[in-house]
Amino acid sequence: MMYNIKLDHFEGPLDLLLRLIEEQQMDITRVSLSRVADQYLQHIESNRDITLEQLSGFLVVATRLILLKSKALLPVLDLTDEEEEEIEDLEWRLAEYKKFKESAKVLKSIIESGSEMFVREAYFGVRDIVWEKENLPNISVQDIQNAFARVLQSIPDPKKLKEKIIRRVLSLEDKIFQIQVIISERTQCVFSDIIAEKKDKTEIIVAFLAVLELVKRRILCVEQKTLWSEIRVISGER
Amino acid sequence: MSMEIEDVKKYMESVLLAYGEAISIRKLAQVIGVSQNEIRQGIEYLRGEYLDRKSGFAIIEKDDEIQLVTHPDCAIFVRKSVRGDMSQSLTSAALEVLSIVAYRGPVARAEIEAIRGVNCSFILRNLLVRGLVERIESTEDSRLFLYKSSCALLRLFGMSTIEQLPEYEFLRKDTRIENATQHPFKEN
Repeated sequence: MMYNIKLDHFEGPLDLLLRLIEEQQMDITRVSLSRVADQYLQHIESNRDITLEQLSGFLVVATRLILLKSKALLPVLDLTDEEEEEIEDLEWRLAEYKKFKESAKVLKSIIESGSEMFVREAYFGVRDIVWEKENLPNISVQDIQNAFARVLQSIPDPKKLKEKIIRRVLSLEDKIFQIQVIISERTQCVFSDIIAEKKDKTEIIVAFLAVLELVKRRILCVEQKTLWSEIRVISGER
Repeated sequence: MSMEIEDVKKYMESVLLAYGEAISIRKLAQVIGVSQNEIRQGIEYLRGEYLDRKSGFAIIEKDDEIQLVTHPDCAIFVRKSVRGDMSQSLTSAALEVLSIVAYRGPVARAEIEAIRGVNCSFILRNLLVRGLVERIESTEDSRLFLYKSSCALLRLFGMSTIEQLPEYEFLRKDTRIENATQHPFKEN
C-alpha cells in the first residue's frame, strides 16, 4: 500500500526521513527505511526549499535508501562491507537524531514550566564596593572642596563662537510650488519672472532645478531660441 | 588554621551574594582561606539549609564553579521584577541543538551537525549570543571549538547541575564510541 504524506516543513534529510517513518508509526529498521524510499525521493523532488548546499546531504541519504529498496526487492543482492557500513551509519544517525528530537521536546516542557532561576544580572560587571568603617580613608571637607575646584577648572570656558548670519534657503519643494502657482495664473512666463529680483546664485539654481523637475513631470515645457537668450516657460497641459 | 563549617558556610554565602556571577571553588577557597574540600562541604550545608527552611535561594554548580541563584519556585515573581524570560522564541531546531549540547557537551559543531543532519552554525551563534551555550577551545586541537552548557542554561532549566536532566546517563552516552572502545581493533 502506498501512503501519500504531505510534510510542510522539514529540516534536513534526517528530519524528513524520521518523520516519514514516524508518520507510518514504524520503528527505524531496514524494512521501514526501504518502504519510505519512494516518498523520500518524492519529497526532495518536489521541495523547492532545499538549497543547493543541502542537496548533497539529501542525495547521500537517498542513495542509501535506494540501495535498501533494491535489496528488499532483490534478496539475492549482497551488500558490500562498505555499503553495509553506510546503512548502519544511517540507522545509527537516525536513532541518534530521534533521541535528541524527543529530548528537545522534554527540555521545551521543562523551560515552559517556568522554573527559571535568576541571578543579580543587573549588577554584573559592577563590583560592589564594601567599605569597612575603620578603614575609611581620611578625607576632610577641605579635600572635597579642593577636588570640586579642580573639577570646575577642568571644564573648558565656553568661548563665544563667531557669529554668522544664516539665511533661510528656499527648498526645491517650495520653489516647485511657487512656479506652479505662477504658471496656473499666467500659463506662460519667462525664467527671469520666476527668479524675479533675486540675485542670489543658490536661489537661481534652485529655481532652475525646480523648472527641470516640472518639465520631467510634464507639467511644464521650456523653450530657448538661442544660447543665453530668455527661457520661455509654458504650461505643459495642452 | 581550621574554621568551623558554620563559619565557612556563612562567609561563602556572603561572598556568593556580593560576587553575583559564577565563582570557581578554587577562588572561593582562596578568598575565605580554607581548602576546596571545605568549600564543597559548605555547598552541601548551604543546600541542605536552603532546602530545610524552604529558602528562596539555591546554588547551581557547573565545572567547579558555583553561583547563588533564586529558587525555581520563585521564578514567576522574580521574572515580574527583573525582565522577560529567556525561553522566548526558542525554535524547535534551537531546542534540538540545545539538547545535544546539554547532554553531549563539550561537543564539536561537526558532531551536532552529524546528529541533526543539517548545518547548525547559525543556531549555535544565536545560542552563544543569548549566553545559553559556551564555547571553549578543544584541548586536543586549539583550532577546534567545543560547545557546552552555560550557567544561564542551568538557570533556564531550573536545575542545580546538568546531571539533573532527565535520562542524563542514557543520552550522554555515545553508544558508538562505547562500542568502539569495547571492541578495539585487534590486529596480529
